[in-house]
Amino acid sequence: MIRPALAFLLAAGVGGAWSGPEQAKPDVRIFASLEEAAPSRGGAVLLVFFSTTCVVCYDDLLESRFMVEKSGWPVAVVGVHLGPYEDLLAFLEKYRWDLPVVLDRRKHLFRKFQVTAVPDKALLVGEDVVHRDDPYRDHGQRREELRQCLEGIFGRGNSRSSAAPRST
Amino acid sequence: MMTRNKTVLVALAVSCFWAASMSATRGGALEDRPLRLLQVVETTPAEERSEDAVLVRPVSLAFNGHLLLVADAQDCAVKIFSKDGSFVRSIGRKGAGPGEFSFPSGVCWLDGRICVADKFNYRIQILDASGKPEGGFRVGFAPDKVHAVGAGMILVTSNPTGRPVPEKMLHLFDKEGTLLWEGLETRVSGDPVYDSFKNMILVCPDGTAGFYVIFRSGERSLLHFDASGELLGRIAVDDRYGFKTVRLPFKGPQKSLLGFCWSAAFDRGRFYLLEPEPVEERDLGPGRRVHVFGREGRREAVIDLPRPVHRLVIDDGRIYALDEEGELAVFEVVT
Repeated sequence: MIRPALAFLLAAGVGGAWSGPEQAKPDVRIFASLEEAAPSRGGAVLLVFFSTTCVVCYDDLLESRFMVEKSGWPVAVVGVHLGPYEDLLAFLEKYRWDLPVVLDRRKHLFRKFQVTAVPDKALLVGEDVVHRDDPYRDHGQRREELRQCLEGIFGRGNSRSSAAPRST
Repeated sequence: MMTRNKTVLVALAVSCFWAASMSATRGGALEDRPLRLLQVVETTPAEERSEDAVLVRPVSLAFNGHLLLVADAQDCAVKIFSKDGSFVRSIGRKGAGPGEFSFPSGVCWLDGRICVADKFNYRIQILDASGKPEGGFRVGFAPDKVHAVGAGMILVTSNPTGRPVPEKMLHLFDKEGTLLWEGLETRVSGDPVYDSFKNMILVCPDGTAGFYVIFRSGERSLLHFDASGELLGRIAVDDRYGFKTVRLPFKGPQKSLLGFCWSAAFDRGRFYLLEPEPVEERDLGPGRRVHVFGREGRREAVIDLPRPVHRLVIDDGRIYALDEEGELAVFEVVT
């Protein structure tokens, strides 16, 4: 339970963005497409498909961000949500989520990556899908597999002994 | 609003499964009646639909002969379509007030009104056809599906919670919310994940005052209950319709699941059972083959749909379905 709590604190901005009782609204970034959400072509992008009605999704979203940020991997974490907009906006403001989210109302990304249940994740490097969640594993196993994949690509990152990031 | 969602009727000769061509029926006694699927009524693609008309996570369908209700759990709305698939309107939004929903998981017509299983608000809501709230009642469980049964009664299903004790999955209420009957206990093995699969049920009202219960796995008989919850009988479907066995890919001892039916409908004295399709030999998913059975359980026909669907309702030879991408599909079946 420690890691989700840490992830939550990180996502909530306690580490840096806490501004006292009168918190400013987070810089919510909702986009209509992946191209707008992660415009730098060729970089690594972790897509996290989630729903605001799915409690497990909260953990997955926050844990994924925590894992990437803690390790300092050059990966853009992008949420993907089906909407509606008001629901997504309320969720992002509540959890002070300032990473980009694609509002995928027409299911372009859900179809492209054949996502049938959430949470689900896909790691892209450039145009290549280099990792997908195995839906038949529990969520902890899935994150561990993702972490191993990221380590394989970028090295162990800041959180462990300092292996230099490999070139992608 | 109605014209925003144009519908294109495409006359399309779709390959059909001539069940009668399976001439090697055992003993020659059983012979399927051939059905032909002649038309696909193509609804407007999601790209071209208005924002309100997009189906994001449709989970339940109900049809009253004129209007089709689709419960969209993600959008916290009930979306209404005409019988040719044109979008009419959307009712509801996220919330806990009257006319608001939190994961509407089931919907049915109830004497001309709309009845919704408002799952995470733990209540049943009743609205008029325009979406105006007309009452409802709280329930002590997360309601999953709702069905109109008999004279104004509402049959509500619930999913097992994972507790290692039998739980009742059927709850019959009058429209004021008075509990009339509860029954059909979960089958408990001690493995909550396995039990959640084993206890998935489908309910089809029988058109009078009773209803049928169909287990989605592990049971070949259709259970027939009357409106008081008394079990009237079991209908064994004929053995040309088999189980689809999968080995569940979970931790612990290997367990198999005998998949039986992905979705079901009952219309004018016939059962329509949607055969599940194996997914990577470790799961079952939506299928495209619908088996038609008479009241005695004898298979009369098989219909091959052009694509897999995961929910369906039938009305006089017309199949209203949600396909595997959550899009509305309408098919005409011609005998």
